[in-house]
Amino acid sequence: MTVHVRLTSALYKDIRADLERPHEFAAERVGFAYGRQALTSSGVLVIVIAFDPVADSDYEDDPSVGARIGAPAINKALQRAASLGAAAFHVHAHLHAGPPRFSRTDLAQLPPVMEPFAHIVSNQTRGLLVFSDDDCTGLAWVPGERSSRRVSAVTVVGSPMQLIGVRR
Amino acid sequence: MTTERTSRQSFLGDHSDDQFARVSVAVLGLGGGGSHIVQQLGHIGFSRIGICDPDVAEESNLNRLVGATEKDVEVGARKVDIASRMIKGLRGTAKVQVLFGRWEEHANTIADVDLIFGCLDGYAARRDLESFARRHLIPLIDIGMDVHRADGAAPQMSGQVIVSMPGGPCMWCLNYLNNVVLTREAEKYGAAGPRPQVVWPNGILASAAVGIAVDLLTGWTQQRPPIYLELDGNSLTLAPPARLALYDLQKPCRHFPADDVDHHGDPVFKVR
Repeated sequence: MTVHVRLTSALYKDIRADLERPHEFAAERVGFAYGRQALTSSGVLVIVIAFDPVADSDYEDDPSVGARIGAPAINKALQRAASLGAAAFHVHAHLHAGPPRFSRTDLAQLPPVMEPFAHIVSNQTRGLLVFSDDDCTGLAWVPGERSSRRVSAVTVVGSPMQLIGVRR
Repeated sequence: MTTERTSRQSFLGDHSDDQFARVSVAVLGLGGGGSHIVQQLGHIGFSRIGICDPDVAEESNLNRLVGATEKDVEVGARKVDIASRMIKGLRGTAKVQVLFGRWEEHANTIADVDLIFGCLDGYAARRDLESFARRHLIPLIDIGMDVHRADGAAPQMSGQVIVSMPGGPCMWCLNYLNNVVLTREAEKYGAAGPRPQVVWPNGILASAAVGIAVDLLTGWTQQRPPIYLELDGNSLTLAPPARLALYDLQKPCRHFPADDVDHHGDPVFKVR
């Protein structure tokens, strides 16, 4: 089964610009992307439609990690996903060229952040996306499955089209 | 990196071969237009191609169906198999998904592709396909041709290439689709007779569609590809219709709002 993510180039540009903004104390920025899934013959397609940055005030000062967000940020994201009935992805960026990788901290701390989304919008995929300057890596939990799957492709729809994070 | 095979198209960019190998496209309708497109995709190096059509080759197709032979007509070969043979003959490693039947029967497979070439007949078919493509955020490049005959006048051959890009103007915004043409088509349903089709205008339209796709994928022209080109088949010109200047193409499409979650993906029930 594959998990394919698709978004417009306008939204991609907005997300990238937002994640590259400096924060007062956090080394990285975080946001949540929302969309809807469609079942395909090879798996799941998630069409990302909206992105909400985590508010400056919802970061917690923790120099041991790139960014730590507090419960209010997660609650807002949960509420938004519930209102939209949407799939949701935690999104952040590692600002370098080439394929990004989730850090050990990411893999330990981010899945629990996304776990409640499975209860709030149980029929939609949830996941994690990390962008680099020119690529993307993702993990996704498809409804009804316990383990995560690697995002197999991210298509940025626009002119020109970008196929990033393609692991087909 | 380009290879010896694609060395003559290296101006498309260092990564163009990779891009053609990775992108997944579908050609829906493998008649006069679609068969041209499939052939060109094979030459260029597209390696993940879905091909969909419900028909078999008939004698009346031989005036325009690229790749078809008299033998195909004799044995009633499926158009999908003719197209598959053509692609495989040009690029044996291509992954061809043969989708025999109407595209709606294969919607779950088509939803996964990155780009659709729509080569369907009729306005209602275009309406349905565009709606599907928008819902799944897939760029759609539509082509089609027709021949009209007014009393006493020479036949007038026309056609179009429309790029329906999510977020951009749709066929309704461009007034290619409207209730008048849809109603007229519905009234004529079953009484239209065979539509005139010939090989050369399909070649022009298909070449433009493929050229636009290549530009979308490589950005080699560093220009925004055209949204709407109209063919005057009598003078053999392809140009944006003059009336395009009347439309505000920067205005967000109101028929398929790009920022509305409910307009995308599979339908869901929401309890309010």
